Amino acid sequence: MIDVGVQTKGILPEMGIEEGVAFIAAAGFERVDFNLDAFLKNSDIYTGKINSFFDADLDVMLAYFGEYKRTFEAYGIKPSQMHAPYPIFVPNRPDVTDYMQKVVIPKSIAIAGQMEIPWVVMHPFKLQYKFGVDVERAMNLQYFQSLIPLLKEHHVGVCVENLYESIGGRITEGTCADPEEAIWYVDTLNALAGEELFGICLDTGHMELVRRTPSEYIRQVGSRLKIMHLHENDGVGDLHQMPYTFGSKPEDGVDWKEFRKALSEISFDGTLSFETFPCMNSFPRGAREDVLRTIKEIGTCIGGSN
Amino acid sequence: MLAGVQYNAPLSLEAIADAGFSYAEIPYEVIEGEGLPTYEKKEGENRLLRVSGFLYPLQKLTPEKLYEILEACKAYQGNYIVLETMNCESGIFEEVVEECYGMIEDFGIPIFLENGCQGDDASGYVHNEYSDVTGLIRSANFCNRLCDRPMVGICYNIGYGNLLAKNIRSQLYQCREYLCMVHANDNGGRYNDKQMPYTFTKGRGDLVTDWYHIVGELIRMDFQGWMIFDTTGLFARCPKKLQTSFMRIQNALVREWESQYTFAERVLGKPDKKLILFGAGQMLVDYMREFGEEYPPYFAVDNVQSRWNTEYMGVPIKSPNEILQVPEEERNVVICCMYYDAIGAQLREMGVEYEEFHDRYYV
Repeated sequence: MIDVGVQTKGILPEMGIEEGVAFIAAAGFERVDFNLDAFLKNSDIYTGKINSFFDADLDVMLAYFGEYKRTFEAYGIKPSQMHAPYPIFVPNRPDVTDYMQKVVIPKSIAIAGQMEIPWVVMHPFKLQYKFGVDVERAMNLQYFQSLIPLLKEHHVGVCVENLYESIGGRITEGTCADPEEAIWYVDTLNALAGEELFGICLDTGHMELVRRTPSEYIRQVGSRLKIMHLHENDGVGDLHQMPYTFGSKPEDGVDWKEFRKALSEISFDGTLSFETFPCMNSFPRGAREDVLRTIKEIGTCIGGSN
Repeated sequence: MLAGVQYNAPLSLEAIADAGFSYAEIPYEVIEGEGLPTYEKKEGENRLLRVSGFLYPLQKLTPEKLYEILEACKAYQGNYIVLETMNCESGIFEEVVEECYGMIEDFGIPIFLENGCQGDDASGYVHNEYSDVTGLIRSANFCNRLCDRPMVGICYNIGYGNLLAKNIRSQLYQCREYLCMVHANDNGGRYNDKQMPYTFTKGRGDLVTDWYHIVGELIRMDFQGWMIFDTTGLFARCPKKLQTSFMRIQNALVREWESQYTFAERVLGKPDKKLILFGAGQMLVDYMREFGEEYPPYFAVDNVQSRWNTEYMGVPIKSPNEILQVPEEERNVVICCMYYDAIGAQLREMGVEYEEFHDRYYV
């Protein structure tokens, strides 16, 4: 049976640890995607407004996240994955880039290790429109390779995610949108590591935006697929909403039946993890419990468990 | 408000009832076709599912058809007929009414004219005679002048309004004396998706349909008519086993909207308690503008220390600790700030009960 998870963004840390975890558990989730990026937002990183959260001593941070771990355990929830803060490379801001790569990411890996989270999603650098694809690949490879000792120390793996870029507001393919590229990264890095320390995170919403099919991507990447970000959108914006909530015909949006079939073909035994936090913002607060419960039921339905 | 869901295959009547709705609106073409499916009640279930009314395209309406629908509506104990006006030529309603106004009066079943458009998803949508409420009001008045009592009102379809880039809040305000029903569904302004409210957003959760102001306008006019979820696009896409789940969200929306109707009376109308607002920012301004005269706060509190011992909008601002100086039985604490979760956690830590003010409905 495939477990169903949801991201903690929009719930933690906003609701408080106990309340937030209880809220997720009450909706029936067994797993969570722990959003460490909620503590240092991407919008702030892009503009160089770095808060002091990651300045704290690692011991202090581990103690703080230890409380999260204990609370998850108390409610029978096991994090299946973590989302590290991003971006890790900010063009024209070497100070921010340096801080992200040398302080934030290493601490994120340590936190994941302490929380026994097996996979951490890290966004590869998005540099192809600035420096070209070859430079982007080389720089990504170099950075991720540099993390190998830390990953081994903390028993944590890194997943690359299919991303998109934007040119004049028009969405285009980004790093790992092409499954061949994702495969190249993972295979090359695992060979360098001498073990399976790298995998792939499939983001279905990002797939929609660049007109790719999740089931085909799954079949191509096979067992390199470790974790997911499940959501849908209107094909124009990265809206991170619930499956089935766009379009009006059965053939619209993501083909979830074919998606599930592809997962069975590769014997996927991970988590169907939903990245749908905007639902926590877009629906009125009075409907949030029903929204979260529905997300869980969607996962159970897609997973074919009922 | 009276709430229900528009039925159409593959949606099941059981899913509508399981989600807590008591009314289903039926396209009359379903009755003409295979007839209304039987609603199978679960063992021990005593909830009734009733026909709220019938829906029919005005483009196909004739006096004979109107008689047939009125008869069926009476037989099914329906409460209204909605005439949809998508791709409808002008003048049809007036022609039928001129011949049938006596019959309409005799049956006593109200008719609601729905706003519509011309076009489709492939070619795009443009205005027709029924797209703006001014046209609908004109047609309603035509009939109502012939009848000895008002028999025609307006149904406003929010999704259709989106397709034509209407200011829906303004449309509702303009037709407030005629508004009898809202068909609630959402789209991104380009395709007639008929999806659930609140799902079309920009960025990470910013709504592109003005739902809060729309509902706020309905509250302001004390709308007591029909709220029917016309979300057939969602149910064309989702698996049958998820129908109840999605419908439950829609029922939760009805409860949320109804709670806002009674907010002032339920939350603020406690003359034996001291109203304390948590938050001394923009939302306090909005609160004072909307409710300040009738329900003035005793004081407000804020986490920003520089605001303590000052006054804003005529309201003294204090430290949150001051809440505890007011005996528990005399407190009525209301969060007046968008950080509901964080402040809620803070108040719970203090052992203080609270409610929430949501200014988006009122500004």
